Amino acid sequence: MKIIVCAKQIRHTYTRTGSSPQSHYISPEDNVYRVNPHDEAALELALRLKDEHEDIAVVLLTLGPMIAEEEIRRCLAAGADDLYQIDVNGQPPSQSDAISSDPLDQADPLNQADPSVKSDLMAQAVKELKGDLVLCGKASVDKGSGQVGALLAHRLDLPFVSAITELTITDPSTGSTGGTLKVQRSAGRGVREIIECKLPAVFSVDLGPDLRMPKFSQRQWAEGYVPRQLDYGADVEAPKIVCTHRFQPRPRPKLVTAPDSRLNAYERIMQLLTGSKVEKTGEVLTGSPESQVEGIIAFLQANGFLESHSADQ
Amino acid sequence: MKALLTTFDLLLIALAFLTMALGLARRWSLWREKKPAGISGDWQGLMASVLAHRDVLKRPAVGGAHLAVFWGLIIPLIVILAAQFGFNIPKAPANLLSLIQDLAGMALLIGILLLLVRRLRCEDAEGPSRTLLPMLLMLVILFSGFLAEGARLSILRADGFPWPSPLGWFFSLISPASPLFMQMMIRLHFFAVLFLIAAIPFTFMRHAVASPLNVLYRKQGARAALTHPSIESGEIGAKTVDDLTWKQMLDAEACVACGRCDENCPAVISGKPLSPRKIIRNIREQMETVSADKNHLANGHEPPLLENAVSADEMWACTSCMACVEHCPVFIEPLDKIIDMRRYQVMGEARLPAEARLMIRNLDIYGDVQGEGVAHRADWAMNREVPELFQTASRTEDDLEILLWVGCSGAFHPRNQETSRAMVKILKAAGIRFAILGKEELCCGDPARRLGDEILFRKLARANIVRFEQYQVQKIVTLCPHCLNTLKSDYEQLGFKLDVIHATELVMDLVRDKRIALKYPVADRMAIHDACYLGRYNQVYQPPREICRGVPGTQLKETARNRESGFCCGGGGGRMWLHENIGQNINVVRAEEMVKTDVDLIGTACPYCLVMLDDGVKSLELEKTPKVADVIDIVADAMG
Repeated sequence: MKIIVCAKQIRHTYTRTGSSPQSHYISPEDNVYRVNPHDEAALELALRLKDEHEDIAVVLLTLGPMIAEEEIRRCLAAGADDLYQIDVNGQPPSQSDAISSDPLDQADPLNQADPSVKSDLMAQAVKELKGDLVLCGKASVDKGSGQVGALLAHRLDLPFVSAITELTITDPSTGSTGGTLKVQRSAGRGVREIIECKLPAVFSVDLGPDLRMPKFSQRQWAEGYVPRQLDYGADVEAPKIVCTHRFQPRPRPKLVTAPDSRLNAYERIMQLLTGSKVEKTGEVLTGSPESQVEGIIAFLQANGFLESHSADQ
Repeated sequence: MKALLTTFDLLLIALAFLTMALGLARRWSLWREKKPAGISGDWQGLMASVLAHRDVLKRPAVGGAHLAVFWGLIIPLIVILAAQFGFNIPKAPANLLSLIQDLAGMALLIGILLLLVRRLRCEDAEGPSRTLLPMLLMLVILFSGFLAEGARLSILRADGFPWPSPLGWFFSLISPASPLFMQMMIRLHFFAVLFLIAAIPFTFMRHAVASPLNVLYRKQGARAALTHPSIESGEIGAKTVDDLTWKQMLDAEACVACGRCDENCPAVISGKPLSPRKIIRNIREQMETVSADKNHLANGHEPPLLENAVSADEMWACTSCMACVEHCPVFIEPLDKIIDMRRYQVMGEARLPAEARLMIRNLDIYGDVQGEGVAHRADWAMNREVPELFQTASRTEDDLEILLWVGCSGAFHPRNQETSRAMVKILKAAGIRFAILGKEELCCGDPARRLGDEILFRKLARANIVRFEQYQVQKIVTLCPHCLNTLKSDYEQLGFKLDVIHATELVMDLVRDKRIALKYPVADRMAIHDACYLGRYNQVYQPPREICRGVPGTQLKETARNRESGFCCGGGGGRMWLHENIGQNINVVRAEEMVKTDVDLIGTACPYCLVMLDDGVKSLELEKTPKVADVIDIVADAMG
């Protein structure tokens, strides 16, 4: 049995500490490059099946440039057998301008291909690799659309269960009849469903099990492993949707019902006042009222809040 | 007593020494042909340790008894050997020699009786049996020698009290004046000595050779340094004894199981399954198994796994506090073996305890133990005008006196952030030009290294070293003793030598030079808790005390266990991130001890100790809980 685990390499923006509005207050060190944690959970489920049953091959499938190479190799070292990379270069981008060749630009969620294009590429890969079971994360933490798994199942015409947290094989027979799987699905608010499903199938995995640590021997093997390339060239549909803008949340005071009583008075008051963990520094304008007004207008213009001609009047 | 040796005697002597040599050579092969350790001998240390028993005498009673036995055996041996050459010695020095000989014998008698009584009263099941044979042999040697001397004196029937041999006189009262008896005793004495010599490699007396050897090859440089495996060539810790260096095996060979490590080990005291003495003994047992099993091993048998002898609970209970290393009289280090075993468990088998995995993962992705990320590393300093190195990149050479290394605790833990701010206040008051690395700082790697993830440690260390080289950092002051030890000693193994001092050392100088003034009292009575990584590892005992003595109106008290014997808070060696399910909590044990001193402020110089002890004293639920504060905080408070 072959399990294909789709792993997305993402640029995870964990905070915003920058000072420039153009970059949405994101400075370079606010990002970490890693594999989507939901996909890591999916890999762990697959590896647990592999531990219990023989003849299971776990194959990692990743789309796009290797922006988190160290992390994807760690996934490989955790126990996967192969790593396939689908090249998306040359694909029609979701935006009007062409995808930059800089891999870091491609990591930007705004520049990513739309879910239908992604699922098309992945469906072709799954067909080529002849996977019996496809696992992917419930959603990615950078984009968060949660569509790719469902679209992939649709394209492959396979049953789909979303947000599973446990996975067992009840009938391990493979071949034309297919084995049977029992999955536990989290239906939200702590509700769980037990679902039976025939192979082949596509499941998306919710956060739950942490990915195991790699052993040294596998780590060494993974370090020297050359990922296998899949290229589907122009054989891909056009994007159906286009994301044109992406806004970062505005910092808002956090609602604090009761300050943490372990903190001292100063910190409790600060918690009530700011809510936000990070103190922002503003620019203090000095000088005459006129020059201060000019400063404000210049700031608003520079950051695109004002059209320049309206300020002239 | 002088008996000229016959050929037969010489043959016997040769046989005894040959047996000893062969036996030692066999034991030697247990450890000598193993992995290199890259160390050389230290003859001076050997002299101090063996002749003067410097380290054995840290326990005066039993150490004194051991000293008596040592010299009680060595002096007569030298005298008798010299006597065989038949020198013509005038009467007075000969008498003196005889007196010394007698006194040495007396010392041996007293020492051996003391040790024997101690052994027999020992509760350890195998304690007495192990040492009984050599002890009884020594008693036989002693009594046969004195009885022979007594018989000689009774034959001579000298008038008055024979001053050169007072003890011989005593024995002459009970021994018959028979030359035959004297000859019998001399033969018995002679055979017993030869037997003891031949038995050295096969009994407990082996330590007479192995322990001095271990002292000779004691670790130089950084104290209790861990081994530096070459990860690239697949050295990932100790799976079997074959993965240990020869020095680590000599450690095991030199152990006499005196138990001083156990007496000081916080894990043992708080009821954990770990026992440093057992670890060493397990290693020696496995060395013996491997050696006896050589032919089997050639046929593809695997050597026994260390984890079969040392359970996970044992190896993860170690707080790496170095108490066992500090108190071992012959410089055996259970610590580096425990960490080597952890390394194999973590890197080879991926068996890191589950509760520590999140921290290690955070360290890997975000570069700090809390997982807050480098972007937040300078948050504690925000709007406080703390210069960061990248801002002052265009500085001239003398612009920067020190780099303040904040560390994960100082940067992220709310409690320790206060300490970081206090340090900034002190440095500014003293007018020192300093800077922090800010967002370019990563964890020093100590938690990863002590938890056995050497790969992660190297990754973090290399990234930090690149920064130091980029900014040509000359001198670093750390707030955390763990960072201090890692930057100073562990980075040296990676080939990067830096001048690193702890904040208390710097502040002590500032107080001494009156560059900062301590004006206000902070507490009536206070005590210092010695951090392991500051005290035992880096020998910084005095600075925190001197600083606190400088605070007006504050009486400094000492706790029961302090300085070299200081008791761990339970947070080192990665234990900060592990559950403590067995036995008492180490921090509570220490807190109980500290509050007995009747203080209202406990000062420490380590962020881990601060958190652990604060938890400890609070969980005691006393009427009046003493405050726990970092020494740096105390200084900032006293400055007003």
